[in-house]
Amino acid sequence: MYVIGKQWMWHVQHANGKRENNELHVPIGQPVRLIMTSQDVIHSFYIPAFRIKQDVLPGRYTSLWFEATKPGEYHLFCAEYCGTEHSLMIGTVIVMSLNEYQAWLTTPGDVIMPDGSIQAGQVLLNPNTSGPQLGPSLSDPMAVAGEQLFTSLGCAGCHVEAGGGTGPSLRNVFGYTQTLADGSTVLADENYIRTSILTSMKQIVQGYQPVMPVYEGQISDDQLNQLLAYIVSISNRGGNAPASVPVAEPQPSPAPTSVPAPPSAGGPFDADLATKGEQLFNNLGCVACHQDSGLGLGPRLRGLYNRQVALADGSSITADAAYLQESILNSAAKVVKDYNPIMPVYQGQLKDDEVRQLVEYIKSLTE
Amino acid sequence: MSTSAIPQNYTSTRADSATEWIKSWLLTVDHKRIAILYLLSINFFFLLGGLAASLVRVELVTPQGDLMTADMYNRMFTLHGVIMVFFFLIPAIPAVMGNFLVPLMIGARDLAFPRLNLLSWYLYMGGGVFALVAAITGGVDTGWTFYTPFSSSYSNSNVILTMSGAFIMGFSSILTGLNFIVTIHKMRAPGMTWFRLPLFIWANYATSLIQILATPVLGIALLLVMVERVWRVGIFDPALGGDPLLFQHLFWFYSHPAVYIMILPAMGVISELISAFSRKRIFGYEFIAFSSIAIAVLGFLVWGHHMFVSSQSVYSGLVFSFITMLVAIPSAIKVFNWTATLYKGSISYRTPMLYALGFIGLFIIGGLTGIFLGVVAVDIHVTDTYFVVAHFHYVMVGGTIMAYLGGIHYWWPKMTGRMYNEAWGAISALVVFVGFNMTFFPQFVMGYLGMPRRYHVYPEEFQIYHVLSTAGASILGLGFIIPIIYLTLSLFVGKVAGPNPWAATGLEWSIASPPPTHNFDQTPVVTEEAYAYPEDAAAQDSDSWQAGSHL
Repeated sequence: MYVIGKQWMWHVQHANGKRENNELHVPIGQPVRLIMTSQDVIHSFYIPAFRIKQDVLPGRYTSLWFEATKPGEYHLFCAEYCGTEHSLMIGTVIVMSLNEYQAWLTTPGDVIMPDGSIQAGQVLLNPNTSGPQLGPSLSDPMAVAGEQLFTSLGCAGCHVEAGGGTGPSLRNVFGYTQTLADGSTVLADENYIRTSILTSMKQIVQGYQPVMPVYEGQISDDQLNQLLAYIVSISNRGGNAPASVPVAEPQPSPAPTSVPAPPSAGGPFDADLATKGEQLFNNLGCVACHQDSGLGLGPRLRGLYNRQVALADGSSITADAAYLQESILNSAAKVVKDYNPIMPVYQGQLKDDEVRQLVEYIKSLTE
Repeated sequence: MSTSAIPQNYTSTRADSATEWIKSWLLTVDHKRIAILYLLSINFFFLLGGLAASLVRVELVTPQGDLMTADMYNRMFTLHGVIMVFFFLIPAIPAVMGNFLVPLMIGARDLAFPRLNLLSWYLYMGGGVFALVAAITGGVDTGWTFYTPFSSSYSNSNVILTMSGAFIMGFSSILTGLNFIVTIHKMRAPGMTWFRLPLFIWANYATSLIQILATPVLGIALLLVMVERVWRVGIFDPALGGDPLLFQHLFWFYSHPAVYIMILPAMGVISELISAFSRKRIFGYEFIAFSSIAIAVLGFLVWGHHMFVSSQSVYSGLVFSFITMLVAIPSAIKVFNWTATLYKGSISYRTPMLYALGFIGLFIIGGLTGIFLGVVAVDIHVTDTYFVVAHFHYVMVGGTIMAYLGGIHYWWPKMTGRMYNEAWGAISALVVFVGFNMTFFPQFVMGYLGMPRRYHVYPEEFQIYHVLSTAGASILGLGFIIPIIYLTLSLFVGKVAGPNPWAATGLEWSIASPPPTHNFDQTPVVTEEAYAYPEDAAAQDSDSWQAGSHL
């Protein structure tokens, strides 16, 4: 279960996405592990009757586990002074039998959807099992929500599960020791996953380039929890790291396309800039989504220049240099039909020169 | 001896006009006058902190927040904490009694740096003014611990002003410590070897070491919070790229040793009182002396026990827990030695002794509950509850304030030349003892039951304990007001004390009361150890006892 503390409230998210405020329903006789974080200041999750307490910090996960043995209602307090309404940041822990808990879980209520929105009167049912939903497994709705998010955010474009993507495969990452680019090792726990999603360049896995966009401030804590649930669910945990952690060799750039200007398709382009643009295109990871096969998460870019492009809003536009530039910097402005607005914003992240190089490279891509 | 016959002393003045008289006090470099300045200002802050505490206690009589708003309540307990910790407990005994007694006890003319001493008082007052202005212009609601990122990014109260106050006060503390260390090293009278020093001097020496080494760390931590608040530099707030726990490490690296800044001088006072009112050489002098140093050193290694549930590693938790246990050893050595000193002593239950005995009992409770809190498994449940509140009040109020009052009563005749009303003294000591226990013992119980601290409203089941506690606090408050009345009256109607009303040993009792400005007419030569009471003092006293004899 995931707990988010904020001034002055406790949010709890259950494995099936069901959410509650200032209440915590738990089954009796089952070990319950809480993964907790705070959206603002330091709080402390305290259940006096269980004799447990753990500070809840912003910017990282802390965890707490317990196994309730007696049904009933117990106090839940915030024990770390957190501002004006500190003393109202209290709630109730409701310990119920497994069946009751199961019934409660499947009663429609507030549910956190994969897009981070909260829908009332919903319930996400585990499609695969009818038994109680405890602990993460691939069929858990929360992990499923995380998987959807993983796809819709475009993570899957680089983190190809079979390996060989621009980013490492995330299968069997959680719970295993990772070797980083500087040769040090780190255990991939909740905090590592969190940091790596939000600011991946802090701890780059050996053999990979620091090309992943920064998601700090772009996804909510709820969404982060869902992604975590998904990543946890695709790890078998325990034991040693799988023998063959796929290590992607930096993609050898194809020989510079110093082709003379194409006959008719796009238009003239600067070969030097285009070569640099191609390197950038590979290094930034654009190539992962904008695949030449046309099967990627982003549209195929070959032959795009100066063609008419149909946009999601039904209008169309000529893909000239200005359009390309705008789409690189802020893709969400004009999304191509049939694609999702998931491309990171590069405004402020790329220099003008680099944008021009990318544009020249796209111009150079002819059928 | 009539009043007019008292020779020229430090309180009498040759000033012709009121302005000159004021100047002669405010610009004095006499350690005794500075001690009096401290006495007045520190007591002022004590009353202010006490007022805030009273409002907090009254609010908590009912579970609803009906007396004041949550914001007001938060400001009140913060004001109470900041004032009591930074402006009362830390300076109380060193700055008042230490200033007055260190030169007298070692046979010196003054402290090593008299002007620096005056500067410390001005810094103290400067810091105090900042804290007062902050309180008057809206207050501060971070708690005295200033935890980040609440203090650095979220609180919209006068954090910077208050922190500046504590920051400035820190320099006062450092300078006093520096002054004591140099004085104790360089200005002891001939024959006053290290092991003939009164234990009060040892305690202040250990305290001074902590003041010099730990206070700068607090200064740095507070400064960094201010930098983050003003310029949004990411130091502690994770939203800016900082680490919120870094602040707790820096803060407790000072503030745990600061706990010993508060209690060590108190222990020094108790050593003096127990010996003087048992008329017996103190038992295990060297052990008490070195246990002060041991507490000072160990105090630097235990800060992590404030952070057992903060998400620090369980292994560091275990190490901090173990070192915390070690602090119990020197503390227990002191208690055992005081008790052993009482054995076969000629005990007289005068007011200071009543406070000293109260101290021993309350400190044992405060100390033992400290061990509960030092055990990780127990601490996880009771930390940040009223159990902690009760624990540190037993040490700080039951310890430091009992010793402060005991010391004030013991040296009052020396400071003022007058005796106070003994009956009222005994009554007030009793009232303080009863009121104190009634205030804080229920807090142990409700803390163990899970009542978190710093709660403005609380579940109804805890009300009975809060009501008891508030009732006790009213009695305690009365116990603090009675001495103010009879001590003030004693200045005008008190019996003239004479140089040594307690028949105590120690250089300070060998000179007139109040002491002359220059302390000693001739530099004293020390030929015997401290507490050189006759072996058969108890027998002598019982032989010569008669109704109305003053011991």
